[in-house]
Amino acid sequence: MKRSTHILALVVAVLGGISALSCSIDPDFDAFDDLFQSSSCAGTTPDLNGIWEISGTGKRTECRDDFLNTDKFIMSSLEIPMAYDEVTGELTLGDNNFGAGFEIKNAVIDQACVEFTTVERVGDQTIEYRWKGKAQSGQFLEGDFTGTGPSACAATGNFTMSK
Amino acid sequence: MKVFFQQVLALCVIATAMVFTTTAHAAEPTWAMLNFGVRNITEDDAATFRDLLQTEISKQREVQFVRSNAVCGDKRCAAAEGNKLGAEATVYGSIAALGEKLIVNVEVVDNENETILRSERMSVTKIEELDLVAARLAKAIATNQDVRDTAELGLVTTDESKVETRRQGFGGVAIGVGAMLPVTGYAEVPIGVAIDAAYWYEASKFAIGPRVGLRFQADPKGENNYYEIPVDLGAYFIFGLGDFAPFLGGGAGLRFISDTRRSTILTGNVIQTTHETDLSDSTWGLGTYVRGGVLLFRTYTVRVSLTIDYNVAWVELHDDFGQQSLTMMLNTHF
Repeated sequence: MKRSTHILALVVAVLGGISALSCSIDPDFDAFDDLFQSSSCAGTTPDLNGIWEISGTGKRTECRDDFLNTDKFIMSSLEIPMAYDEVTGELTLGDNNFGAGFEIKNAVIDQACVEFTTVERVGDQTIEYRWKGKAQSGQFLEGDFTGTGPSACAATGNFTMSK
Repeated sequence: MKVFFQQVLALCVIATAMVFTTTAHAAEPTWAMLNFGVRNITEDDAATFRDLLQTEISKQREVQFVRSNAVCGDKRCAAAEGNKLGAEATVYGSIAALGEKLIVNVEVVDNENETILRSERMSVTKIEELDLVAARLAKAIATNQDVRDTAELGLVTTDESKVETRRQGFGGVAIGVGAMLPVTGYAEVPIGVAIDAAYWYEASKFAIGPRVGLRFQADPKGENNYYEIPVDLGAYFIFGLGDFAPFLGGGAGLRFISDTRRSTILTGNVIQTTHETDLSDSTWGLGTYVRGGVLLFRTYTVRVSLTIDYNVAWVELHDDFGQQSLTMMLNTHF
């Protein structure tokens, strides 16, 4: 076999492999995002147990009631108890002490990252925020949030949590 | 013999006819028609008018007349004359020339009770129109109508077709500027500016006129602001004719109010967010006001007035019904 034939066969094989791989990947899969997440959450999980005070700012758009749209809203500080079981890896927030209309769910820890969702019902409206932050230390955590409601609003912003 | 029966039959027919005629006349009331008193017109003209009047009354109602050449100036005299003639009622009156006018008075008196049944008066400037007067008065007497209500095409006199003289007022443009003090509503600002443009029609004791205005926040840098456009019609009673004349009145009309307030918006009970935004509300509605003031230099063509208005706009803005304010203005009337 000639050397050029070997090179051609190798190129065809590589391209074929790439094609087969791309067909099997979920179209929503973002390899770079996952890579970023993995690298940004890198680190050991600090001691998260304790009372954390959360606060933040954001903007709200697409609201049906125009007066709710704003370039900047301020999120008043709120104390949230956080408990992390290192053995089971279970993270518990809020301890259900905010009343029946409020719940914190889907709380997970990935190395130094913390993620959870808050859902609040006010009248016939539901306000939901999804929080994603990275613990800088056992005393400080910061990240971004997205949200929906009330009045079909879409909210984005950033937050900090400190003990 | 045959001739005899023919004569008897003829007599019966004549007798029957006489009976029916007598019965018919007996059913009609008898009125006496006296001569009319005259001043500065001829007896012949007055006699012609009397004939016309008698004919017209006979056309309007079933009445038979007996005539007298007597002239009466009051009901007692007329009733006595009518009683002498065996009439139930008596028509009498006068025709007098007063300058260019001919004034016709006609009265009908009940002879038994000496009470006036009808009393009418008309005036014309042309003697040729006395036939119209006769027709109108006859209709009024016969149908018991007011003589003014008997007008119809062909019976309107020259005098009646004239435009009636009216009192003249004094009208002109008025411009006003001043301050507005909101009582409730109006973005809860403490003070505003008021500007009016009006038409002011002034008579000796009253004034009326429409106005359009503009009210707005006095501080252009204020967080809250509003503007109002009143379109009103007002009427005022003026107390006095001198150079210092107080007046009192009011008006009503339409208002457009726009009210913008800087507000803090709160969402959530546990995760609470706050932000500031401008909440705007506006609407059209009914507005009313009462006004007191004083009109200065009233004897001059250009006058000045000082006024205080209490305004209520009957509208709901930001969930508050009834926007109230005081307005103090200095107005110049041209």
